[in-house]
Amino acid sequence: MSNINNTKTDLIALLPRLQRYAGNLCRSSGDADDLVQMTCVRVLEKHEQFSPGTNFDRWAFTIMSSVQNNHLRAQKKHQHQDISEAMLYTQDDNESNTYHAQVMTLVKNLAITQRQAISLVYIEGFSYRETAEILDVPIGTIMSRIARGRAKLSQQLLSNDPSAVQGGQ
Amino acid sequence: VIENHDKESLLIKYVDDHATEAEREQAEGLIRSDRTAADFVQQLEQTRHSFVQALPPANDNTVDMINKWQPEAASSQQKGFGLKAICATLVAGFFAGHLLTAVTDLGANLYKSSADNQTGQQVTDATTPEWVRLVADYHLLYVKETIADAQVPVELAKSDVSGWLARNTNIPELTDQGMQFKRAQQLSVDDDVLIQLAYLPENNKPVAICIRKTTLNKNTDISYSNHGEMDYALWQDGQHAVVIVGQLNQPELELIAEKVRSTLFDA
Repeated sequence: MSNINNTKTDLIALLPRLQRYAGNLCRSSGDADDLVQMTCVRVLEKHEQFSPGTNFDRWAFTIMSSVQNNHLRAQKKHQHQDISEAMLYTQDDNESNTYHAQVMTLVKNLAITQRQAISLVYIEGFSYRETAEILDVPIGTIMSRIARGRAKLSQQLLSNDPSAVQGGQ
Repeated sequence: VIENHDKESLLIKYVDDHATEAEREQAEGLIRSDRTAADFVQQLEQTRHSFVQALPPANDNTVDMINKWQPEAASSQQKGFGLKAICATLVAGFFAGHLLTAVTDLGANLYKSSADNQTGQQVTDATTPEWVRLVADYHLLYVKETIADAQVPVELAKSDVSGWLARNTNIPELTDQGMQFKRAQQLSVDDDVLIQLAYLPENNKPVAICIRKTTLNKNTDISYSNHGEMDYALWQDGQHAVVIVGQLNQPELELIAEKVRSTLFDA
């Protein structure tokens, strides 16, 4: 059983990564903040279920994934929201026109499942298997999502600005 | 013969430097012999070093919330409100984003609050209706930044809220009281709805108007009380119970409540 003070310490240390991941999943900073806050509440609420000695980061990301999945299910039930949300969605203005910013913008436009897999593996540094466990899907599905996502990114980069690709190598 | 998914996995691991020696040899053989595989590897290489992303600083409000979280709050989960309700409501906020979205089950116990408790007739904290306590507990988590970036068009919110409540509902104009409408959310209590309209005062924490359809159908006077740090005004308007929660002094709350009562629903 985990001590609540240890959980708080671990959670605060992990907070920047949870914020970064949420920022990559959500289309607005408000949504990302809400996702992080609710994940934190869930982690605190469930702290007794965490086994000390196991990977706290992976456990917390799994909880965030569960919250996110609930969100996706709700979205499917309320597709009429999408048009309005799209109307209100605006891209960040402060992104510079660099290769890296270009890639991150394209990442945000990937399908959510590809965005989850790519963010967890390449930004958060989880292994393929850990990512599969966090997202509760087979590892083959993770590899497939990565393949589809990276292929799409590559195609979009080439079609947008071939010279930018060279600059990023 | 390597199946497609296996081929993809092998080549991704190869490009990401996670392949074993045997897998490396297998991948290199595949690249030499299979044009599709070679093209795929080229695509992967183009995005290989693109994902470095700096960590943001920890959000102070979230850190504060974590530090203040008390495990004793978990005991109130057994009653169907408290932390569980807070958590559920946060789901609601997340779902809603800048807009309105039907959300999650706040718990059967909440739904089962008695009809007598759904009106504004009982005003001491000990008899604060369960759903009002839920709203107040949840609202404690709201800080200015929670809704500062939201800006839902009033007409859009009015249309959606009216639809969900099946009653012509207005978004009260409270700029004279120093408050700007920010967004609306729909919570779900089993199949029942609880609407929240969030406002941001100029110099105070957010204020929320929450509306819930009840089994009653009558009008009551406005009752004023508090639950913990939250002040509230509560009344019944036909089939709907309305509560305003926030950290407001009595004169402010009275002004706001009177304005909301007179403009929320069409006559």
